[in-house]
Amino acid sequence: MFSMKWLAALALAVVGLGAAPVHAQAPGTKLPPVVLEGLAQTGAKSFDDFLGRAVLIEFFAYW
Amino acid sequence: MQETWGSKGLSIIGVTDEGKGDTEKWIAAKGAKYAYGYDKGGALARFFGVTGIPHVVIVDATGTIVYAGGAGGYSDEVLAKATAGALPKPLWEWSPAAKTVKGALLKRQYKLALDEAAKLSEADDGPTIKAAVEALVKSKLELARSAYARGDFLGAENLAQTLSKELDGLPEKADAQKIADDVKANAEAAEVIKLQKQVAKIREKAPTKRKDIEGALEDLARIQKSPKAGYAATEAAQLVEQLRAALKKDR
Repeated sequence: MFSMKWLAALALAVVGLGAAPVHAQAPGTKLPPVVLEGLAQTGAKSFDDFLGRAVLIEFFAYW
Repeated sequence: MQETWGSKGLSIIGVTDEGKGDTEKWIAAKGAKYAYGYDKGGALARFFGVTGIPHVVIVDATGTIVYAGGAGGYSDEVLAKATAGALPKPLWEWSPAAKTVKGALLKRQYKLALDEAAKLSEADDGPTIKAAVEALVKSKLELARSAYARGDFLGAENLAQTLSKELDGLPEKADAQKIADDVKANAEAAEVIKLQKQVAKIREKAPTKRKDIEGALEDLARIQKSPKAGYAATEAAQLVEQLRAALKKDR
């Protein structure tokens, strides 16, 4: 679950929130093949298992 | 959010390029429950031009980006758009009996996926899975049609050609082929596609040095001024905005 507590924790770790990405991929662009290692807290074994789902990817850092 | 949108087809995943040890300690301490994975080397973050966190990217069921930006910058409308035609249940929650459907889907063999789904019983969610695959096919075709309608001929052509192969054996293949044929027959398309490819090339180069960015801006201005640029001008304008932001940040 994507709780408010989790969001708040992420907000504390914000660096440059709202900063425009330097070379952000524009809406309409196709996602390239995605390789994610160590998938946890999900039944997905690889990113391919998200096929057919809409996916919200949130980049985060522990600090 | 997962509770509200999960059954509508949305999966949420956290991505980090930080180390596993520190991240796992942090996840445990925060009690975070959602899926996460490691973007080793930061390739995905670089692709998306992530300069600050949290940074969110939302892709729809066809793998097309519908939003990229700050964590608070998207609306329910964006999520509704992203989940249109998405599978209500992720593949890993399907019954083991649906293994062949899953395999066919991963290979983008939609006819085989539908044939195999038709063999599944109601107890194994056969009708639901079949309907979901049909919706996925429909949304992919719709994506190609809407690309054509907005004049994104390069996007429409690429999508239609890919779909034409993926829909082999299905009546919808003819729909995909028609979109590809419409692009070919459109008198304006060839020039727009040529300019769209130029914009894409500049985007791929991802210039970072001031001199290179200024050069790219000049090329993009030339594309925008072309009377036959059509949708390429829109794409050029989007890239100009990003490059100008990069220049501003560099000051």
